Amino acid sequence: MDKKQLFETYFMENLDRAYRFSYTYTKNREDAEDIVSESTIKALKSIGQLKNTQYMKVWFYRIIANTALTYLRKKNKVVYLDYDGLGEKEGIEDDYSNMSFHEMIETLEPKYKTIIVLRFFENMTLPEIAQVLELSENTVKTRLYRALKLLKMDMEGDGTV
Amino acid sequence: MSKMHEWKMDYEKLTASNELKERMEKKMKRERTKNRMKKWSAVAVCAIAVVISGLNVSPSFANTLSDIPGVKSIVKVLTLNKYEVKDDGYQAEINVAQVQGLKDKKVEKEINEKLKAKADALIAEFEEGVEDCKEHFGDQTVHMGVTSDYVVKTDSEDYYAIMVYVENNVSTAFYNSFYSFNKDTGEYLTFPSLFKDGADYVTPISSYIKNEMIRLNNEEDKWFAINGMYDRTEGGFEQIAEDQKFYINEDGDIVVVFSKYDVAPGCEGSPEFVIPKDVVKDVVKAY
Repeated sequence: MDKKQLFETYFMENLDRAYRFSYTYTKNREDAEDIVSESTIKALKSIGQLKNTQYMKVWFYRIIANTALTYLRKKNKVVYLDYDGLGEKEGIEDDYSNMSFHEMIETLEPKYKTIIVLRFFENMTLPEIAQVLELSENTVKTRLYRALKLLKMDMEGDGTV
Repeated sequence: MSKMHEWKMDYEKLTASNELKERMEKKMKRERTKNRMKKWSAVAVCAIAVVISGLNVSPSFANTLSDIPGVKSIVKVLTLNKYEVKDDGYQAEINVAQVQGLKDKKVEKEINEKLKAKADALIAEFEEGVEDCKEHFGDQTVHMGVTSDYVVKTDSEDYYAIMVYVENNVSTAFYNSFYSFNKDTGEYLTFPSLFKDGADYVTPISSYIKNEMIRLNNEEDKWFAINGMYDRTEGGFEQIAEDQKFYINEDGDIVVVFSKYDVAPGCEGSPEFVIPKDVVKDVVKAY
């Protein structure tokens, strides 16, 4: 099986996961599906560059993350308008312990959210997360701590309050 | 149940729509067919009747492309031979470039012999393919084609540069090579000849290109592969070669060129990086 076929197999088995991960960026179905579709095209085009197929997941998640960020940047104007309405909320510390999953992904800052998603929902290791997000491991670690502090949780994701 | 666990369960409830699944499945199927076609046509070159419309060696036929008036423009490229085959399923068009007007006639002869040899090899390869195919596939039609030609990249006051390329119309393979000349001196410029003797030009140019690649990846959504970055342990860009592929552009800047697929996906073609004069100011000599 060549790399392309390997990716096809991986992708069809993991389509839901790719969709879920994209959804945490876009928070709506339509955009998330666009990102999955665009990421797949990119992946198929550049699969030749992936030297070690062991890293398929990390590699593909990196593509999704980059595609999602570009996508959101393009849609930015719309997103920023929404921010104004959230103005009143500023200064009030969010209480995540009562939030639903959907409220959480709406509220948590993107740089923390993605790390929480990859660490706790996708069970990735810190080095893997660092590779997906193209950050140093230290940065990932710092952000993870901060995120958990915001969520008032410990490293296992359990509430400490 | 912890909050995190509850969230995770909700996360896992998210599933892609059936419509997306179907669309992606179709997409993958299309990719597979495309792959098969590529493999197929790599072996299959089918011919019924081969028409060779012209292998004209007559100098009167030589097609001068760049007869630019002016005292200095003595260096130029022209077409020596044109080899053309057009037949229903496949085709070849090979223009053999020759350069003229170099000061060093020995160098000129060497370049021209090299260009001619490359074209001859291409023609031989193509014809061999035709024969192979006749044997295997009789008169089935399969698409296959090759084009080789040259482009004048630079024709300025001071410099002349050409790109000779070979394009495989089926596999989308693409090869190019460059020749740059100083019009004033009539000299053929090799990459090392641009720099002071013993100067390390590889390091500053490589580090400039690497930073550019990172910038383009971040800002313009490009996909440059860089050795040691983005989970790759081998392959991708590391540093330029001592005799790196390049040409001199209209502004007299060095333009570093990479082969298709070398440092980026095929959709990026053969990437070029213009090296600012500042980057090489310490190592470059008058060229």
